[in-house]
Amino acid sequence: MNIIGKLFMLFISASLINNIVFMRFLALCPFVGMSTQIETSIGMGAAVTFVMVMASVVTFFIYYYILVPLNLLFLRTIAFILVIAVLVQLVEMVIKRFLSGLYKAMGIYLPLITTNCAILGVTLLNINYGHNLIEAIVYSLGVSLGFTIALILLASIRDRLSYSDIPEFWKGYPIVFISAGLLALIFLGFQGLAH
Amino acid sequence: MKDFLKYVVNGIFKENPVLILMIGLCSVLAVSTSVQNAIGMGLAFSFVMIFSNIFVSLLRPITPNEIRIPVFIIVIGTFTTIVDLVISAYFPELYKALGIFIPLIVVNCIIIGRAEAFAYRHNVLESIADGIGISIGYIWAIVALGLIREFLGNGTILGKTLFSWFNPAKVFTMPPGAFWGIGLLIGLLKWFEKRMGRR
Amino acid sequence: MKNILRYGLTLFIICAIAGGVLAYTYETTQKVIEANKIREKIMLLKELIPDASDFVSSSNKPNSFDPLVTIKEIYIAKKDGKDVGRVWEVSTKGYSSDIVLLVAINDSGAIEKVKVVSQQETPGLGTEVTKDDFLAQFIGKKEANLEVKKNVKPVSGATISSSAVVRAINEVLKHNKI
Repeated sequence: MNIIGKLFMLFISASLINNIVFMRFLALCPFVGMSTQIETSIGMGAAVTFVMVMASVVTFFIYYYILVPLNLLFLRTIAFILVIAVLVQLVEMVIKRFLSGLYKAMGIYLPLITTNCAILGVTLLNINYGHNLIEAIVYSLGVSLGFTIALILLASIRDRLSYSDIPEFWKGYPIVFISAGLLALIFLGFQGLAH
Repeated sequence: MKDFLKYVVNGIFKENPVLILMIGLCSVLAVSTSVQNAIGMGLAFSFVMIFSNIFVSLLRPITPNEIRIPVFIIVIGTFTTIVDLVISAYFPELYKALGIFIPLIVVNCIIIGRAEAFAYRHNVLESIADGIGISIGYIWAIVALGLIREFLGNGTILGKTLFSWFNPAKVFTMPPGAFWGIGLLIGLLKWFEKRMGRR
Repeated sequence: MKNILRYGLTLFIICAIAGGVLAYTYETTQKVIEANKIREKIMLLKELIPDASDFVSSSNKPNSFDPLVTIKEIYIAKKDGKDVGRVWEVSTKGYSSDIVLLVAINDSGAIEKVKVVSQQETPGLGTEVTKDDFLAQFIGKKEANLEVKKNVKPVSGATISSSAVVRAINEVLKHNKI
């Protein structure tokens, strides 16, 4: 039971308490760029979840079974990003060929994910935190859920903003960032959950 | 020479990566809690940016279109790792402050974006100019944000308290402050550009 | 087919060169990083025995009596060539993590200072064992008869973490007697 409890805490921590966008500042490019509509947000969130979990698993094995035994830790960054790039390519090809429905829903977001700092960030954090394989998977799921929530929240706000009367120089991205800041303030409230 | 300067100035204002193109924001928002960290991050970024541009441009003759992305990644990744190793060895304090954002330079959309959009299509000298311009653009944006956040959030600049009567609002050193700060800067730049356009 | 070979070769060569450059950079920086680590260690040890001018790692590392305690390192503090004390680096099983602490014994066999180096105990409870409020009571102790609630005041709400620290200190004092 204790393991389940720990994993649950890990999940909540990854998605809410240390939300990847509002607390860790990762995945900001898609966050700002893709939050124009709620549908695209969900599609992007799904794609990110998919890639992130797989990347965590693959990089886990590469780190502990190749880099560590061969004492090549300094190649960590390059190895991980190459793995992610290849993974994204493969996933895109496979989905396009075998799951065309899925491809129509989220395939177009896949190429953008390679440079999503959250993917590389999470694979590196798994190493820093010393996660085992199960923890890495749970952590990735939590982080991607947190990302999806953040994306949907901002998309909803932007939707409302389009009906509002905004002063000239705040129009467009400035007001988006102010809104994001307010969301961040709200998420700060989750800090109390940890203790 | 005039072309060289044109590319440099382009990166600082018209195509400022952070405030106009709005890419590479992760490191800018995360590391701008103090001016010192902002400068450190800016310099680390610049090293990778300029050298990546140089080598992507140099390797053009042997980089066929189909494998250009892996080549970009290897080049950028190499320089990122060099910066990672050097900072961890010679500047351990800065290394702790920048954290994972040093290795994350390799996925910084600015560098890959510039490799694809510029360095792959221009010669080495022009790529150097673009690299310098973009780097200055990045540095002034992240330092400006750092100034706002450190002053409003901590009352200090580079660690030195400016006004003893000023009671800082910690929220600015925290995530909300980062978002508000960048929103403010983008809005200010828009206003500034409008005024320059009117003249 | 020919294209794939060409691409593969190009990538391979670029990778090889990149790998070589990185390996060289790594070798060079590693030396500096090692030197930094040693310097930081010495600064930490100086916090415990400020008089010392140098610390030497002892080659004689005995096995611990207590199975829950591991003796990691023993540093002999030297001043002008003379032995002025020892610093024991021990690891003990805490409530939710291994607690690593440094115990400094001066040349009269009494505890000079205790400092916790790393732990992942419960924030606000177990983590209080790192504070001087708790650790100061061990200064001057010589006998390995320390026991929580008998002659040691634990951190309230963190009996297990406190006992772990006490266990480690007892271990050090036991060895010191020999």
